[in-house]
Amino acid sequence: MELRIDQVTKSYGRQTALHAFTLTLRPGVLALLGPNGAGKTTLMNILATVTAPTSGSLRWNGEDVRRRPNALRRVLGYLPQDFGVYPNLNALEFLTYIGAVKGLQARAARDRIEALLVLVNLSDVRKQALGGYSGGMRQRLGIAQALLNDPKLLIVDEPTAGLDPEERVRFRNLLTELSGERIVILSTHIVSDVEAVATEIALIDRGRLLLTASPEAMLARAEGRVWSMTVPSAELAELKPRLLISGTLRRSNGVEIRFVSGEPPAGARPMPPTLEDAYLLVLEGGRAEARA
Amino acid sequence: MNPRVLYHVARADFLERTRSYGFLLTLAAMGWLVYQTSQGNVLLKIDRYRGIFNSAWLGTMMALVTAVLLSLVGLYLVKNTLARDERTRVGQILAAAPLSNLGYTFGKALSNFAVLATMLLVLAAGSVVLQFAVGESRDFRFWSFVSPLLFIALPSLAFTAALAVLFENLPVTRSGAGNVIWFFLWTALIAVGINYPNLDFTGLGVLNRPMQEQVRALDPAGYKGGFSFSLGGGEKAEELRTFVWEGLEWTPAIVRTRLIWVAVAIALTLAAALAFQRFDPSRLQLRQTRKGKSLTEDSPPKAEIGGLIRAVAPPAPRALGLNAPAPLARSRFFGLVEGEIRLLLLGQRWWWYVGMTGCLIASFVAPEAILAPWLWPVTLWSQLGTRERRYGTAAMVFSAPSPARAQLLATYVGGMALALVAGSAGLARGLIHGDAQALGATVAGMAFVPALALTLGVWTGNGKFFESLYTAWWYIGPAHAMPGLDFIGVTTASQTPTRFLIAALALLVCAFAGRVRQTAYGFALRA
Repeated sequence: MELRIDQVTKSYGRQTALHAFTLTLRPGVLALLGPNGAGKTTLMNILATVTAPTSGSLRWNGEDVRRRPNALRRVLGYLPQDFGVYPNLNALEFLTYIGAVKGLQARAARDRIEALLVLVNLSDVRKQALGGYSGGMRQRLGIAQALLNDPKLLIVDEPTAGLDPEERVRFRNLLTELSGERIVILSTHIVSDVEAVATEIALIDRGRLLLTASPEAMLARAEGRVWSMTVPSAELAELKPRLLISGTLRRSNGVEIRFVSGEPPAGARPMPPTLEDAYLLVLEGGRAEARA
Repeated sequence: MNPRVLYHVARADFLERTRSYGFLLTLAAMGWLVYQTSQGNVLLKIDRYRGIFNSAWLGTMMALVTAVLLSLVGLYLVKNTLARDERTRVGQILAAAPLSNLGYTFGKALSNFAVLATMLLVLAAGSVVLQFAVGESRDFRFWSFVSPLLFIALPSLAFTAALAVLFENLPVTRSGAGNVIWFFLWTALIAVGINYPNLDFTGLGVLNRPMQEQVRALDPAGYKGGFSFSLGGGEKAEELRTFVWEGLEWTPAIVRTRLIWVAVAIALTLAAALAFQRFDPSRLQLRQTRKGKSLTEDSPPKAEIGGLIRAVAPPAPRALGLNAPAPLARSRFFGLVEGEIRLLLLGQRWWWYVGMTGCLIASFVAPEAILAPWLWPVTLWSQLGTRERRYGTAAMVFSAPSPARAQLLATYVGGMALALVAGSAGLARGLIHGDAQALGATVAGMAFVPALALTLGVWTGNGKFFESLYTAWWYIGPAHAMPGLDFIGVTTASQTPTRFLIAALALLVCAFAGRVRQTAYGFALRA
């Protein structure tokens, strides 16, 4: 099972959102990381066959997706970042509809819907109009519709947004369980989600792929470059433009800052890196390269 | 095309649309049409004759109401199915599914057809009751009643349903311009259809000759000719002579003429499938860019993780002034009104202003064109009271002070400002001629139209019902100077300012009640 993205570019008029993006995906969970406007959603829309690339090719198990999008759509589960529902339908009706649209057989769809409603904890409100659902309930419904056709390629954009901590943990576990024999692409801003489920990370900035690496390899890059020190509150503003600060903590004697740097100032203590630190380091490195 | 997929696309869309207050109001309007038929305000007249209220006559009447009136307003009512998928963002999920363009557009056309057919069903049920209530004939003949609905009404509804899907897929007709284009296209089709039955989607032409021949046979000496189907009428049904209409003999040739419109509907749906763009956000973005909005992808990058924004892109030290107090305006009402007017006009393309200016100039130059500026802004008025649900701003707007009072009133005043422009020619004429009654009628129209739009907007949550009702009303009332329905007061005889001022007030109370309900129960937040 393989999804090959080759030199994919997407332009909106004169603006280019994605520059010659190349990546090959195999079973596992790929986390897409990048700042707003990096091109993550554009990439996801292209992979979900919602948007056509301006140039480049996309191949699912060797088959050209641009020519035969249904080959991918049949095995695709897609949870867009900003999706909606029909407020006057209930969960059962909505999922039945999406099941039919995805080409599921009636009986199979019925059984799967029942199981998914239990899985996403919406079984009790299955006949309630979706207009009355909370944000978290809608998100869970979105997750259920993405899993309806037992997808081989699951694309989820900000899947845990709006979920409470318990639901978030449940969904993470679900993603881990699902990832065995399928390709899962996860775009999220929540680093703990990435840490928990990702087997590989792709970092994008300004439409370009900066890096693909395993979480361990990313952490290794930041090893020995993360520091902490306590500074007086008044000095914080002055330090911000000079240091790549990844966190601050208020203390009784000032502010404890956590920062990423090759050459630490005197008094800084070395810290074990986190993915946030590594993310910042790679992003800043990519930008410095671009500036040079 | 998988029939099961087709069924589910149509079913979900149908359920979503019919489970709304707006649809109930639409059905109520159908009931009102049946009532108007009993009062003689919906009238089919051949020479000086009308048919007695038997099954064949009522079936024919309702078929014509459907084919003529429902086809006009029906397009306004159902031309929102793609827009809904775009607005609710369900479209993105559908776009990623193995659903063919043809399956989608056919499903949507079927749903449109089902919605319109449900309205026809209410008309039909009402006219069965009418037959027995009036009692001119108590012999209910099923085929005589149903056949005109089947061969006259349904093909025209199929045509309307498919055209609505096509209109939504084409760049110009998907906007408010489509509504205006349809009005003129509909007028042209009716005019052409009377002379060329093969080009007549309403079926008027099919009925014309056989009905006239029957009346002529009944009264060869006194027969002067004439076949008219009027809404609003002006002529009392009881003043006409009656004849017994047994129904049309549905020869294969006639049926074929009517079935052509089903074929046309299929062709239109095919064309819609070719134009369907599968909710591609890049195309939407380009469309928005052309309207002057910026691309989201172009916005300067910001880090997203946790609290790292400052670390990655440290902002230049700048006094943001957030510590300064934000004084509340003493009177925010005028600011609100200004904001509402801006929102009304926001996103209007250049051609809208050109069209409105053209209508205004025409209304000043030619008295007979006084009605034009009252139709052109229909899509702007239809936004009143719906914007919060449409754009998902309800939570923000309704959490502001006095959302029901100040904000609603400001919306209404914004709509009135537009009506003031639309009615400026009428006002000027009234002032120049010192005609207080005409002046009053125009002012009443200015108060009534935005009140109607606002009330229907608040209660139905979308502007479709207003758009269709208003267009039909504009056509029946002011365009035919029908007393009681002419809200502008085109002629001295049809001016009833007091009635419309009272109606405006009552509508405003309804709008207020609706808004209180929305804010109190979070009703609008659902959308």
